[in-house]
Amino acid sequence: MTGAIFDIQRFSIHDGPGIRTTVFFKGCPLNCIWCHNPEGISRAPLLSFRPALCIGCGFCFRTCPAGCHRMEGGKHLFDRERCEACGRCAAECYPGALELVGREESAAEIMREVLRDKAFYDNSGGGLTLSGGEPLMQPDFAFELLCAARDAGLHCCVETCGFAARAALDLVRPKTDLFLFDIKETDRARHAELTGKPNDRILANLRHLHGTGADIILRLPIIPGVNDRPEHFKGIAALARDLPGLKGVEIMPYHQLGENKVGRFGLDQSRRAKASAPEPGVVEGWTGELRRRGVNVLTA
Amino acid sequence: MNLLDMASGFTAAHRRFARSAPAICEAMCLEAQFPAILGDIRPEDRFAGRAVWPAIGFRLFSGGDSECMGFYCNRGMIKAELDRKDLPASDRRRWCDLLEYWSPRATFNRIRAADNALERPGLAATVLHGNEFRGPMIGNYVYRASGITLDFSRLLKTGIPGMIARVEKLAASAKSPDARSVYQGMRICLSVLCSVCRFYARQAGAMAMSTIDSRRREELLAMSLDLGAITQRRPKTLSEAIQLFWLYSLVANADNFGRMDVYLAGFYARDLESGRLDEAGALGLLQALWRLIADEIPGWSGRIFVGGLGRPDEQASDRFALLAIEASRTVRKLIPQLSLRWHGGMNPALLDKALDAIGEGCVFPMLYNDEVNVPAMQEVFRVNRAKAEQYVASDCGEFGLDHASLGFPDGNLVLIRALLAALHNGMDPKSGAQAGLRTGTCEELAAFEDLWRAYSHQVEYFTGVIFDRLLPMFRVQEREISALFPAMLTDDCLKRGRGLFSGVRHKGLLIEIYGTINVADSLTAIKREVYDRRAFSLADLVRMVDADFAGFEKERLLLLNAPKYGNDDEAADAMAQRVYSHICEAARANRKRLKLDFCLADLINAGGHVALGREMGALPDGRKAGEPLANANGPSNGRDLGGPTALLNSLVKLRPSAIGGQVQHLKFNREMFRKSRPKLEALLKTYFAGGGSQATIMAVDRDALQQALKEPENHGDLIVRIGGYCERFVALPSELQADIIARTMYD
Repeated sequence: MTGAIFDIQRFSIHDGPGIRTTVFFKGCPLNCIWCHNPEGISRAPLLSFRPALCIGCGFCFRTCPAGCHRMEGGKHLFDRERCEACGRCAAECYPGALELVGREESAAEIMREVLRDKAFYDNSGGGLTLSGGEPLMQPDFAFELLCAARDAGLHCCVETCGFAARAALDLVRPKTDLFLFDIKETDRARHAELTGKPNDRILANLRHLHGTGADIILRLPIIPGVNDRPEHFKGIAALARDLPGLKGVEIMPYHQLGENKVGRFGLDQSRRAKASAPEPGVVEGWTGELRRRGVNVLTA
Repeated sequence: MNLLDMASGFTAAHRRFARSAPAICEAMCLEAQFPAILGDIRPEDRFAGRAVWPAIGFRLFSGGDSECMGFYCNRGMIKAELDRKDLPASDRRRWCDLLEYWSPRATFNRIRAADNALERPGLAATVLHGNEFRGPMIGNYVYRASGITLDFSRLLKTGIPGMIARVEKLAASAKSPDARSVYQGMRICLSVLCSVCRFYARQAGAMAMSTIDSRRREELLAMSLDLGAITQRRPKTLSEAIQLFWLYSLVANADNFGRMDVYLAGFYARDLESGRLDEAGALGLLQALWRLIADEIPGWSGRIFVGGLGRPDEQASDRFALLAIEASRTVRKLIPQLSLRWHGGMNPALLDKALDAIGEGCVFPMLYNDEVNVPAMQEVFRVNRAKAEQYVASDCGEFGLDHASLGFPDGNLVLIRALLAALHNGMDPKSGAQAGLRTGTCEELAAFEDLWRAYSHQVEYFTGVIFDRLLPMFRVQEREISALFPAMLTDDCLKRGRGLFSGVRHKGLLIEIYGTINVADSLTAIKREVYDRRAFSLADLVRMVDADFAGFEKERLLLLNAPKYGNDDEAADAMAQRVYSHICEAARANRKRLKLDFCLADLINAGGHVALGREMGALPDGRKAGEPLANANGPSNGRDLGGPTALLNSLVKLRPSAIGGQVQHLKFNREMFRKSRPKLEALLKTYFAGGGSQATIMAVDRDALQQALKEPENHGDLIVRIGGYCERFVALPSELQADIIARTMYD
């Protein structure tokens, strides 16, 4: 079986304990206005185009079967409407201006790369993290990968937005050592507004998962001016009180790395949050506020 | 004494004893040199011992200037004197007489003469003396004498009177006249050392009398007493031991200090126990020594090793090692180059303390992995495990055995130029001159293995030529220099009654290798695009490279995007292994022929990779003309894209079992030390457990280097590591600054 992924990141040190390799799954049911991996939203591959890197060699014009690329007044124009993301142009683009993001790989292929750093995992208490996108959108593939990793003795994390079929969650649960469970907004209506989906199913999945005794860390993306509201922090505190088995929560401060990706992939910018990274000291303020409300905030 | 009188006095001694045995002549010259050239105790000194090296004299080696080796005559200094408008005519005449006397006698000139007398058949003529990378040269050579550390344990255990008794006893029983003269020379040297001690004892005493500050007076009186005591008996306290160690280093020109925690730990422990010193007091002494070393020793030397296997009193040594790291952390000079040997069973406090210091931006200590290096040194020096446990590195990082080996990089080989020669049938692409062997035209190199053979012939040939060119230096050193002070503390000179060069137990030569990774990455790219995929022919490739890829940007990117060493890529790393093992073995193959104990390749590249890169045209790995070469065995700047685990996995594939020295630079964001310290430690431990030999770690803030470029005045304290030495970032030439900024930073 193969799965759709868009990146394998080695020496990942912020997605679970120790030194890890994170496999980014392609496809996500949510569409958050601050998404930092927008290339992971669609299941299908996407063509990334960075005009600054184009050297005008013209190779893509000749190879594209749909005629998406042309040169006008010394400028490379790309018609994304017609692009079928076949990737032929990217294969010929040596400067890397065109890049096909998203590929089908088998669990065995992925594991070959993951296991190259096994010694680092063993010495640091690290392992494999599935992230995305949303790994639970491809439950069978995630399961296969987790089984292979477990067989190799790796510690396994799944980072999820929680918007998944209960069956998918139950399938991967026994093979997962730690869930990194995102809570983006505690208010139902605001959640729908910010992510495109209400949060009932997410919260129900979280309670269910908590009920099974799984190890869970909540991850809170906090975006200045969007969800850094006292009500949200209060909601988090209430949620944490309800779920005494939680290992803690982590604050994921907004960063702008996702910003320029939107342009590269020609994605819709109209919904996107106009936010900037928190000023120095602000994250400490959030941490303090949550801790005052009795939340166990973990810091790296 | 003025410069001229010093030079005249030294020369008079040489004239008088020129017909005596070489060791006697050298000893009598040293008697004329010391204490005459010694500098005054400065207000900040806690130990006596500074030198003002004169225009004419004797020293083992000055580091920077290969003319200043053995009996030397520093023409630059003399010229400056002669250029003085106010120089009396009589003085001018005396200087000219001295120049005339030394011209045929100075060691450097003796070597030059012996070298010039040798025939240089064919292409060997393109391998020239000098340390510069100009023209089509594939290799060159320089005259040096370094890479020794002395047996300070023996010195400090025996003391000067003990050493005198030993030498006298050996002299009495010596059978050969040569050995007898060596022992007599050594005996004279030990008297010279006593005069040096007494000279400073008097000076410290006199300074104490005229000092008002009571604390400084106490210090000077203690110094004076220490200096007197060490002429009478063996040292008992840490301050006596450091004083004797330092003065001996000064007169012997020992610029590297070996395993300091072995020879000073006992003194430190006893002082602590007796209450003579507390930790703070001992730290003060070490800090003073560190500052003295920084003032007196050339910037690429001053190696001090602590930690590691094979130390007799591990606990006491560890305690001293912690103090040494603290001294480096607090003093923050470019030297001493403190180095910590790591092994699985070591006291974890040492690595912890080391990472504290490194994380604060102190480049020291550099880390060495005994688990890898001890077995490697067994192979490199062909010794048993116990002896290999006594490995050290000198200067920029050349391996040696503590007080038992002598070997230093005296030649340079530019591997990537050997590859270019192979690609051009021996022709230098820039000048069109025949620079290498004719190993076949592009058309004749039909298969990749043909190219490999052409390349390896070039490498093997030039390696042999460089080693050959160094033999005259060896012969002159053996015959004419005894280097008695270093010899007395080097195995087995004392036992054998020989000078340093003929008596040292393991003697060898190293050549410094440049462009290793550029060769590997070029071959990987050529193999893939020319031989496997047939994207273009080898002749086309050569044309594109020679045109600096003008009009061939697409092809350049094709070559640049081929797998590169440093990314844990199997094909690229296997090629790097092949190139690396080949040059190591090509160097080693000369050992028997030259009757040496070791002939080694050495990959450190103190800065030459940038200088060479500036001179060189484009390369088949996609590098454009003028860009720096890859440093030592690290990846090309910015081509390690897979993160630190991938880089470290690549690095460990180059096993150091046949190498004379290598360094691994790792540049981390300081955030890593602050926020992810356990992960960083795990990263290092895994690297070491997986076969990493060495790690030189720079911790810098993300924008610190760019900030320093903008506001140099506010970043004078930012220390960076280049190849084998440290420098203040703001003091570097701009292209070296750019090279360091271009190194991948991990976070």
